[in-house]
Amino acid sequence: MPGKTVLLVEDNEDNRAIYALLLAHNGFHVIEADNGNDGVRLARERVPDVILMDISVPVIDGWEATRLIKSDPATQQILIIALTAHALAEHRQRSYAAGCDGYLSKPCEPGTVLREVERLLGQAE
Amino acid sequence: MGGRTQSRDAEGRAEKGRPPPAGRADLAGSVDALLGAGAEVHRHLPAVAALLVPELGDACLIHELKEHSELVLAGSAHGDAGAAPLLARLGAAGLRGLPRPFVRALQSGEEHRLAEAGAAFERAARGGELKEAVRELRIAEALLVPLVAGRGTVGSLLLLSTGRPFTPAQRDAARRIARRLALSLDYTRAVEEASGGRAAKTSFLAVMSHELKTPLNIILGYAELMSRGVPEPLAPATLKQVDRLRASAYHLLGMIDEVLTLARLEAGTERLRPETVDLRVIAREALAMAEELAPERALRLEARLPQRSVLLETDPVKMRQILLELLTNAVKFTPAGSITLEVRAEAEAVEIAVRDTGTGMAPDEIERAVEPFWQSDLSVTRRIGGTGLGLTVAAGLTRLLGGELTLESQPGEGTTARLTFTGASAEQVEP
Repeated sequence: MPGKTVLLVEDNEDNRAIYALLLAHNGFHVIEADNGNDGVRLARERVPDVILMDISVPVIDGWEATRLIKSDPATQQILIIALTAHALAEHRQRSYAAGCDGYLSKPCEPGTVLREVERLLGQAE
Repeated sequence: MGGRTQSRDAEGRAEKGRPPPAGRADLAGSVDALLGAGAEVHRHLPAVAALLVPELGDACLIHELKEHSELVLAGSAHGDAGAAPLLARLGAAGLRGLPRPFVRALQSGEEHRLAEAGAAFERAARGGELKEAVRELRIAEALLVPLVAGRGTVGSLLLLSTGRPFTPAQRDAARRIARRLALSLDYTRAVEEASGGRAAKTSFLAVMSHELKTPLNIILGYAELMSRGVPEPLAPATLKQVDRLRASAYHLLGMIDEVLTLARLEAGTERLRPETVDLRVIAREALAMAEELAPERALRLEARLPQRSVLLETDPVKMRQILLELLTNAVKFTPAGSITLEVRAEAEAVEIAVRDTGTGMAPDEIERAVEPFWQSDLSVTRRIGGTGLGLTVAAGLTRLLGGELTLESQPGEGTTARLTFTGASAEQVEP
């Protein structure tokens, strides 16, 4: 999917680098935020196609950031994939309730992240 | 408080076959017999209190001193059954019901005797109901012996007299019994603290294992990028090294998961998420995962599954983990030959067997195989790897799912690990 923009909202620098390297290698344009607040701000300024949203980011958590992005007409069309540290049904439900379009539980192999981003974008087209 | 009569109560006791008052030396022996060697001293304290009345006093209160100076009633007895509720009320008041000299005695650990104790108890009991109860108890003299042992004051023995003063012999006996009670309570607390320590260790292990996984997953993430040629392709020889690096990191991750599972099993915090599943599906998934473990070996992995689906109410993730542990273990100890995974459904039970043609185990090795950190030959651990926890984890998870794991083996004849789920509502339906 060359030319599509992905926003990574993740506070672990290495995880961010790993996902960013793979996505960039596969033709995506990648922008990054290390907290929920910057995530929402970048979503408004740059309007990416997809956001990979770690739920446990500082300042405002991923669910709250998702609610803000999805309630703003200017950003609500952005696809959001939640990344949570626990494979709990409750986390999955909360993620979808907040408005997430996809859900992955961590640890998540880079290849799985890439596939999920491509799958969601493929569906949207 | 109408029918309070000393004589009727005495008769009542005689009818119950209570032995006649023993000598005081025997009293200590009887207390010993009651407390025994067990750690559950709390349960016996009401009986101990009853044993001391009337030999050592007209009434007896035994308290435990808990954290934050909380005095908790552990046993109470009154020679006059009608007065027992009043005594219990005084006992329940704990520290609040005690005259100040007794509070000081508890702090210092020195015994204390109060003549004209009734007035002192009434002064201590500020509230109306408690004061009333204390007045009705008609306390003449009171003796408080702190229960002092290795870790300080652990409780108190309070004897009340409604008439005569305590004799030196009674006070002597009270001291001896207090010493015995103190040792028992102290021992019980030591046991409780030790088991608390075990729980803390288990939870530490769980937290640590989780922390270990975070950097390990980052190692795996970068290694995966290198394997994929991101950002640039590696030379074939380097790629091979990276693949070995990834295999080792996955191996380590698996071992951390085993330790984590074992810690949760020991702490009793492993949770079940049951659903109705077809065991054949889980068996096929586990087998597919196990095949990846042994691509280089001359091993045949086979499944023998029924034609019809085998539905069982169980936790699919844990069931898969059990099968994978058993298959991994079989792969480890089978240099060449075959491993068969068989699922059989009977009327009231489901049986899953993992059979290998590997090195096998001697009878004493079978017994010890489910103990942690043990493999039949330590050099095997070094050669083949693994924590030696696999079978322990499988056995623990099987018990959690309500089943049983048995091992059958002969050295050189291979091993069969058998899971039996009896009484399981297994049903077979057409696919």
